[in-house]
Amino acid sequence: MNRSMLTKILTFFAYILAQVLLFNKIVLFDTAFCFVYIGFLLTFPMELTVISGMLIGFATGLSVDMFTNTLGLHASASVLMMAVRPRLLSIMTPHGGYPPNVLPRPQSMGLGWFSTYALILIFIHQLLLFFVEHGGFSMFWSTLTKAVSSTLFTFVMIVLVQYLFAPKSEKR
Amino acid sequence: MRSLLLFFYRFRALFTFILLEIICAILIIQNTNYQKALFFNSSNSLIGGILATANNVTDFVNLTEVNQQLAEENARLHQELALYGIDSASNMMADSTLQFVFRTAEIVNNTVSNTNNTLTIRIGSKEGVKPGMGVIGGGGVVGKVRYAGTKFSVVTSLLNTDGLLSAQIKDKVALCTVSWDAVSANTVNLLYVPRQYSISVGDSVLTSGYNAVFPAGLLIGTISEVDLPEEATFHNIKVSLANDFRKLSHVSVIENRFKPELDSLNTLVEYE
Repeated sequence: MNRSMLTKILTFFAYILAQVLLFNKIVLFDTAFCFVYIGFLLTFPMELTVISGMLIGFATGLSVDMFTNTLGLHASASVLMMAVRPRLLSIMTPHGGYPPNVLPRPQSMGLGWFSTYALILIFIHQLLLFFVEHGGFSMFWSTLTKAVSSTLFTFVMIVLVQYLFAPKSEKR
Repeated sequence: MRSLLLFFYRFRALFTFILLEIICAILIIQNTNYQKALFFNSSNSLIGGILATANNVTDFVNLTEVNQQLAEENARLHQELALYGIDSASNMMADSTLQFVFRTAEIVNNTVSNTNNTLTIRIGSKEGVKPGMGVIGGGGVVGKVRYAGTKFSVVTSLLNTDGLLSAQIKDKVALCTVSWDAVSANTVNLLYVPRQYSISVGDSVLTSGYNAVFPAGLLIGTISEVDLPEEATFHNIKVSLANDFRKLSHVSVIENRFKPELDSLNTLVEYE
């Protein structure tokens, strides 16, 4: 097991604990939820294959689910998000391709690029999450409001966490 | 055979995706079922333990509020006792200690903003808690036990779109149903109250005697809104809950000692 793998595993536990002990309790106006653990999935290397991405998403989502008694809910949303991610990354390739050894983070790719990338993926995640949680399309607008406001709240928190806690160096 | 394998290999990402989402769907569906208790939820001692440790830290902040709640509940109980008079109270006590057993428990995790809210409480099968038992808080009904782990249990909150609770309006309607519509953590709907009854704002909504989970006459809330459209069969009633689910810190789990007998009688009647 190399060093970067160990760091990633520790990051995983940090994100899950932060999510279940702290961020699950922060709900703004009963509509905006913060699922900061998505940030852990967003910042995996660009070369991560779809299959390993989906498996990591599944495991991460399931870990969060165990604490919130919603087994399968976060897992399904995370699997979908990780399935879309490689396609989105290839669409968003800048001119001349991605620089080598760069992670999809605001510090390395620029806040503009990261915002587009993260907002699209978080929104896909939240759409599936809230509509599955509600169990259908009755109360469509209130569920959509939840999804949109949670996307924004989660996005702001993920960017903050990236600037505050993630190391600035680009080594992995 | 070879081409089949090649086909699977070519679309392996798609198949992994479908497989994982099917597993998730199965888990989600199983999770709504009371009988199929899965190990991986917050009644698991590791997960419950982590939540309880975190809760210990934040507990101090809420102590004043908890004291206030307990004092209020005490006052209410004293008042009720005075109302019944000592004599009838002791009779009633004998009756209810025979049928219902109460166990107090601390809440370690609580949600109110989801569509299907749950509470995790620090009491489990070791103390005799079983799935299906009723749970009440300071002001009134809180929910039903969904899973009982050895040390922790998961409670399906009254704030849950899956559950219905049979209720009565004090001195007016003997049987109606409480249901939550996921709009606000303070209000529930009261269904199936026929239009011939005159209902007014402020009436108390209590548990009915037609269930084996809660004792009859426990407070659920008070009516805050009544609406009777022309030609509607039933009233549209909103009930503001007696419990503030955001501030709950301790609950009691109710065991009905007669429940097995009631259940077996009911099945007898069904088979006849």
